[in-house]
This record gives sequence, C-alpha cells and structure tokens, in this order.
Amino acid sequence: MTKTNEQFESLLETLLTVRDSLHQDIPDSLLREIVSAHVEEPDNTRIHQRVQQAIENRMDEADASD
Amino acid sequence: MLRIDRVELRDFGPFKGRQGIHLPEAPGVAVVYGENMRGKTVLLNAIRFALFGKVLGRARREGSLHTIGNWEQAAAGRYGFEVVLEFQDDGSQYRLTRSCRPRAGVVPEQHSDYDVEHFLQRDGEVLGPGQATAEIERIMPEKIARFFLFDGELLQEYEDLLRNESDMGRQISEAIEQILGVPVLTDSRATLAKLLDDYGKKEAKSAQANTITSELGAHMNVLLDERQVLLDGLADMKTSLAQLRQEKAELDEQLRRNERLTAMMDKRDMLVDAIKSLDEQIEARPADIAIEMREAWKSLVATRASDLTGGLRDRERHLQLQKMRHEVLRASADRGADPKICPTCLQTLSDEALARMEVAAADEAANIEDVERQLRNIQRRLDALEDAARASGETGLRVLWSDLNRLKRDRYTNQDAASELDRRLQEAGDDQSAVRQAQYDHEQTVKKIALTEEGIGEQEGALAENERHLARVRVGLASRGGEDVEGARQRRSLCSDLHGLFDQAVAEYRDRLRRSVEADATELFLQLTTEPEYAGLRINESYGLTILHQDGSEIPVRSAGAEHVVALSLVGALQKNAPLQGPIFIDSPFGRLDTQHTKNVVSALPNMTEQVCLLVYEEELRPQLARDLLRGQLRAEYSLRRVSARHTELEEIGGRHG
Repeated sequence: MTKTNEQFESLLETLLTVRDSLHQDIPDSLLREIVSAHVEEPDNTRIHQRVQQAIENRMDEADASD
Repeated sequence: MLRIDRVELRDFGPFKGRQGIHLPEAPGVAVVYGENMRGKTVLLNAIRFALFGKVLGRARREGSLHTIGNWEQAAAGRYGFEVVLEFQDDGSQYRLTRSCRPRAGVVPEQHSDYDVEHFLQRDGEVLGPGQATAEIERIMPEKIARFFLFDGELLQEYEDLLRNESDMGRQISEAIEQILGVPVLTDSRATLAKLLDDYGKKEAKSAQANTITSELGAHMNVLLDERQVLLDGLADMKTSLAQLRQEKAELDEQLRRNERLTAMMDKRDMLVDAIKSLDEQIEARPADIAIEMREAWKSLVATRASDLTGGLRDRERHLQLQKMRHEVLRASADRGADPKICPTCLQTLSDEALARMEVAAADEAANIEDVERQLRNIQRRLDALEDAARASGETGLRVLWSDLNRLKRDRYTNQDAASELDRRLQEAGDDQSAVRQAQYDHEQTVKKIALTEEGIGEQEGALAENERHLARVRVGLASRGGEDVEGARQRRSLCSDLHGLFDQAVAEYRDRLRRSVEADATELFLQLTTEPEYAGLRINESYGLTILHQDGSEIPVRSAGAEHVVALSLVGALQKNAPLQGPIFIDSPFGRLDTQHTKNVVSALPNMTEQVCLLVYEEELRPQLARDLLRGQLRAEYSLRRVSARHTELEEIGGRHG
C-alpha cells in the first residue's frame, strides 16, 4: 500500500468512526466519494460538481428505497 | 516519493563553471564534506533556488540574486547562473532548469537587474509555465520545504517555536498538517459548507414558489442573503487575519533573528536616556552647591562654636538651677493656713529655718530678672552656635561635589558604552533602520490583529443570530411545505449532516495524527538520546514536543543539542506519517552534538527517509566514522575542494556505493 493510499484509508476510517459515534445514516460510499474528489481532482469546480453529484445520487437511492 | 537524482550548478556561488553531484538511486545516505566557506549552505540554496526561485540570505530573509552568481565570473563580466535538478516522483522523471540572467542591456548591480525563468520537463515533455509551477508545488510545496531542506539552526528553532505557540509556530503547525494530509478533510468541509448554502437557497426558492409557504420562503431568502453577506465578510476578515498573522510571524522571526541587534539598540537607547537624565542632574548640581556655599562659612567656625557651646551649656545649667531655686523658694513662701508647715515635705519648720528661707527668697527675687535675662541670652547664643556647629557646610559641600563627580563619571562611562554600541550598530548598517521599522510594523500589526479578531467575534455573533432565525423559519416550513420543499430540505439536511461529520472528523483526525507522530517521534528519540532516564516525548496541540523523564515528569529546560535531537525526531516522525515524502538535505546538523549523539543520529538517518544528503565539515563527522556507521547505506561521498576564495570544485570521493 502506498503512503497516499494509507492516508486515504486513514482519513476514511476516521470519518466512519465519527459517523458511527454520531449515529448518522450516511453510506460509506458517499464519504469515500467526497474524500476521493478532494484527493483526485485538481480544481475546485470539478470537486464541487463531484460532491454535489454524490449527494444527488444518495438522495435518488434513498427515494428509490422508499 | 520525491527522489533527487542529480543537482547541477552553473556559476552558482563558489561553484564556478558547470559542476554537479549525482545521488545514487539506492536508498541511503550521501555525504558532502566541506570546510566553512566552501559552499555547503550554497548547495542547499541551489536546490531551494531550483524549486522555488528563491535563495535565503542573512537572517533567513530572501537573499539578493545579485550576490549569488560566481564572483570570479562576474569580475570577468559574465553574470547569471543556473541550477538543473533531475528528480523522480510518482513514477515520472523530471528535469527542472532554473536560470537567472541579467536583464537585456543592463550591467547588473542589484536584485531587480535579473530575470529568472524555469523549464520543467516531465518524462521528456516540456510543461507550460503555469503547469510547471503547479507541478512543482504539488511535488514539493514551498511551505513544507523546511522539513526537507534545513540546517542545524533551523532545526533548533522548530521546537522552540512549536512549544511556545508563536505565530511562526502556528505557520509551522499548519505546514505540518499540510504534510500529514489534514487539508483533505478541511477542504471537504469547505466544499460541503458551500453546498449547504446552495441547498439552503434551493429550499428557499422552492418554498417561495409554493403559495402556502411563499411568505416563509421570502423570509428565508432574505435571511440567506444576509447570511451570505455575513459569511463573505467573515471570510474576508479571516483572510485578513491569516495574512496579518503571517506578517506578524515574519516580523517576529525578523526581530528574533535580530535579537542581538535589537538588544544593542535597546541598550543604546537606555544609555542615551540615562545620559540625558545625568545631564539634567549635572546641570542642577551647581545651583545646589551655590546654596550650600552660602552656608559654608559656618563650617569654618564649627569647631570653635562647638567648644564655646560646652562652656555656655555649663553656664545655662547653673542659671537654670538658680531659677529653679527661686521657684522653690517662692512656692515655699506661699504656705497658706499653716505657715510653719513646709509645703514640699509637710514637716514643721523651725523659726530659724523660716528666717533663712525668707532671706534667701528675698535675695533670689532680687536676682531673678537678671538670671532670666542671662538665660535667654545664653539660649540665643547657644542656638546660633549649635546652628554653626551643626552646619555640615563642609561635609554637605563635599557630598555635593563628590556626587557631581560621580554623576560626571557615570555620564562618561555611559557615553563610552553608547559610543561603542553606536560603532557596532553602524557596522550593522541598514539592519538598524530595518529593525526599527520591523518593531513599528510589529506594533501596528498586533493592533490590527486585535481589531480584526474583535470584528470576527462580532460577525460570528451576527451569524449565530441569523442561524437562529433561519432555524425558526425551517421549523415553520417543515410543517407546511410541499413535496418540492421537502426534497430540497432533505438535501440540505444531508449536506448539513455531512458538514457536521467532516467538522468532527477534522478534530478526530488531528488527534490521531498527533498520537501517531508522538509515538514515532518517541521511538526515534529513544534511539537518538544518550540519556537513559529519558522515557519519551509528549506532543502538544501545535506539534511541539516535550521530553519526559522516566518518573513521568516533563523536562522543562533543554540544551541546544537536545533541541536538535528532538527536532530530528519530529522530522523523522513526519516523514513516517506523511503521504508526501521526500529527501532530507541537512546542512551542518552535528555542530551542537557530542560524539555519541552524532553517532546515534548518523546511524538513525537511513531509517528516517529513503534519501538523505548530509552537508558536513570533517570535524563534525569524520569520513571514516560515517563509513563505519553507515556501512552499506553510505551511497556517495563528495568533497568541496578549495581552488580559490571564490572558486570551489565538487569532487566525488571513494566512488559511488549504490
């Protein structure tokens, strides 16, 4: 595992721990996508678009399951 | 991980012509030996110049480019210099060339007479200027370069700054967190905050479109607009505050670097004030002496007056006795109803005694006026004589003269000291006015920081109030809103949850990092220290490290050498924990360490990062000792050979080992 991957997993693990302690119903995939966008994308507009899309997808999933 | 393969210099400092060092690919340590003034620090500056286009001069301020080019070449009319850095990162091969040339048609005399340009090739392809700059910043952000390119002095400062929570310490802490990856979380939080605002606006818009909730929607819109204005203002203030803190940190650094100069200037100013005060006292003394002189004649008759006083005192006592006897006799004469009883002893008086008393009383009564007159006269004379005898005219004058001489001596001493300080300060040249300016700027910056912090507090208060109003409107909407409003509300609510989650995660991640850095720094520190009673290191909020004794207590004071060892432990721990790793170039790191600490540090270096380059003088680290300690991990050895005062040659010694 490279150091960057190691850091990514460490950040994600922190987020999951905090999410569980807050008892929030937020899927792992959404958190992973938000962090990935900030690690991978070079400019803020792209980051913003990716995170917004991830939130919309999550809402669609929630609507579908309802 | 960033790995430097080759550093090539042309006419950079004492490195005349084109010269370079090659760093082997195998992990390990390269050592460059050079006595003082041969160019070890220049080599470090060359790498800094290649990466950032800057060199560090005196007091760690940005140095003038005009002083960097080789002097022998400049004397021959050839100005300018160049550094080429060949390195690898993330599987790509880079070649960075940064050149400094005099501006066309100018014979350079100062920094601004030069143009600097750079080219970056990635895997043989030349990148555009903007892309090249962004790529360099990605590979080695300037802010964190201090943890990769440093000297012993800088090492020692880190810990001091971090433990004392100075503004510069805050900047370094931020740089540490940048290395460790905290910005991924803080940036995520900022993105979510922006999205939260967007969803809030969509919610208000949906509510406005609905006839039942349009009024609430309009109210929400107004509140959101107000919130945006407040947030923009707050962001501006926070940017200003960060900028002011940065300025203050730089001024702190400048003043700290010039501590000796500042101390001299302060002392000189104190001496000038003292001289002024002494001058005032010296000026006032003649008047005091003149007053004392008017009375001084008395001191001439003081001895005679003292003798005369003795005689007069005897006479005074005799006359007072006479007066007292008169009083007693007069009282005895007034014996009331029983004239034969003495009013003093209440015994019966004989007739003979009564007769004697009456005669005596009559005699005394006749003389009493004369006695009283003599007594008054004597007392007057005694007062005058005692005044003369007491008059310390001579002593007082002596004290005043001696005082005046002392004041003059003090003035000359202070004047001498002030002149000496003036001379030394003049040698310091322009730095003096720069320090004064820095002191003034520092004072102003501190005031501005206080005002900005106050403004931020007020703005945050207004935002909290706005948030309370918004919450009330949202409660109203939740009960009356339709499907559209509900959809927007759910998105905003999810975004709000995410924002809260990332906010807490930032704090949690920082804690984890600190614990991890503390554990790794402790492990390294225990390898480096020679003190068996030291049990480890404790980290503070700003990544400052304190040594712990085995009894659990903190070691409050530590030597320069200990500062060094602790800072090296921090650098090693950061390398272990950071996703962004790179080579460590250290200039003269062992100057303050004893032999055993030096051995421990050298032995630990290969474990700190994959590529280490030591720039040392031989007394600091003997080549044979380096070879014995590093063995197979010593990858290259270079020597800085003097050709002339302005010309050094880089020579490889002993061949490459990897």
